[in-house]
Amino acid sequence: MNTLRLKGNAGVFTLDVTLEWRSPVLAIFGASGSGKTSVIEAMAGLRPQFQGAWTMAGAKVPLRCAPERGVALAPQDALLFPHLSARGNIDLAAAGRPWPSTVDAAVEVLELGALLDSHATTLSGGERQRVSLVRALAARPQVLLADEPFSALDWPRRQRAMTFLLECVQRHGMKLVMVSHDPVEVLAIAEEVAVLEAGRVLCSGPPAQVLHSARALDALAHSAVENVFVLSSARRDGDVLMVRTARGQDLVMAAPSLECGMPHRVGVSAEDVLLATERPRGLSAQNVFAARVISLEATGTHTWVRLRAGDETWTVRVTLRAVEQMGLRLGVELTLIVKAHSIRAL
Amino acid sequence: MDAELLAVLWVSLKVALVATLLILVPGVWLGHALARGRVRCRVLVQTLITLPMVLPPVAVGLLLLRLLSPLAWPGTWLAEAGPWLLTWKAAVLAAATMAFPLLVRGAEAGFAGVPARMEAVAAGLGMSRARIFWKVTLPLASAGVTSGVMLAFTRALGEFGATILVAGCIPGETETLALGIYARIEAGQSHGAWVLVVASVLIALLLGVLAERLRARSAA
Repeated sequence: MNTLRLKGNAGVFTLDVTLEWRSPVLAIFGASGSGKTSVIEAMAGLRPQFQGAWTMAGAKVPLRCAPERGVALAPQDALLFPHLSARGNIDLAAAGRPWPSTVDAAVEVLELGALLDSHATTLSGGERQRVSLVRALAARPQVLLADEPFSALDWPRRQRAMTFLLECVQRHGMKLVMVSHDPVEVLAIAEEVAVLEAGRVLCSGPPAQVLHSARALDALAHSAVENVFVLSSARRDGDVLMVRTARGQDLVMAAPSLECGMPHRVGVSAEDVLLATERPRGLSAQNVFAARVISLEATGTHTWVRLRAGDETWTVRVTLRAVEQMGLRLGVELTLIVKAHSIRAL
Repeated sequence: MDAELLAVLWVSLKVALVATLLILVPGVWLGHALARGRVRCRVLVQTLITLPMVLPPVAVGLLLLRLLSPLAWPGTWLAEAGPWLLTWKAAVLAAATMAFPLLVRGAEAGFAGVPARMEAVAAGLGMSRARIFWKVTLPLASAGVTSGVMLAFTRALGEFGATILVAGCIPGETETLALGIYARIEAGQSHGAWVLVVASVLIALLLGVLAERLRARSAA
């Protein structure tokens, strides 16, 4: 069990965070100004004004910077040391030791080889962010703290970076605490998430549950990917991919660029799913299947409908009017419709 | 070049170099501490540091004379290690005292230009404080620090008022360029004085080019 308690004045609000998590990858999620960066920088030892305590598997981790803590931060602003090259930045974090194997692999995966001798000031935002991530890995952290590490990366690189970090976690036992305001990233990489609002933990737990709760969704007012499915297989068929989720649901999706290989996860926005009381005919949509309503959560302006289709659970956002007109209630059998282009590779 | 001129040049460079080296570490340390706000009574400390710049150099010389006098403490204690007054060591002390504010101010300006967040990010990577200072802070502040060091060296090289009171003008021992020019004018040796003036100008030009190169290198 890992725990974190933090308290202190963060300017516009009082930070008061209590967290418990078990998995090696924790995401700290929230809207801008919710206190995410304050929390992760406090963990990195950069916010001594906050009082609190942090433990990892029962062992206390000091909330003060110290070389032997085994903690490294990749900051949000990807601040590189401007008097050094990309290589110099990485060397400095490696403290004169040879680069660990993770760094060599990261340089390759993140396509930094040709940029290593470039001066830090000549790199673009995305390049700086990639170097910053590799630099943090060069410090051989047991716990990597990454503040919005993918925000300046294009989607293929983001996918590669996420897959690579997960490999670091699985193969090398590294722990990852990541800040993100992007639910797609959180769903794709984290096993547990804490949602922050005004310096407090709004809710926490597995991303699939937490990010789909009406409370979290409305607090964040996001419109991203609420349905994420792990795939067990994927094969190309003309201009589409025929994929099967780990729970056995077959989906047809528009084939993404194969630059990143076959997708391992796919996502669908709750707003891109249609519901029908009868099975429609003559639709261009490639995914039409039966589903049963398992929960309805009405908020002020809309309703979150959760449905079971086979063994998979879907989250759909509909208007209050639609709920009334369709007579939606628990247990109702419906038809769920998703366009092939609404399914995105994550 | 005659032996007399060489002796003046040698004493000048020796005094200025030793004085600059003497104040280098404390000056850089104090500049860093001031820039990072780690000094208590900051205004008082800065005022005291600036004092040699605003006081007449002769007044500073008189204060040093009192300090080094073998008739009262701490001069009595210092005298146990050998005489100070009218030696090149006294010239070094006078030059260091007058140059110290320039080095501290230059270093302070240099360190103030290094974002504290840069040091915080380095700390966030698990780097020790010493490593952060040597590898991040100092290189980034090098333009200011270099400028402070160069200014301090040139100030030490041209020091006159305080030096003449505590070190006198002993050829080959304490006679620096400034003292040498004054002594030759007093003695009516205008040719000798002009030779030293030309030497001073050449050294100043050389230092100016060197300072500019170092500044450009630091800025790059």
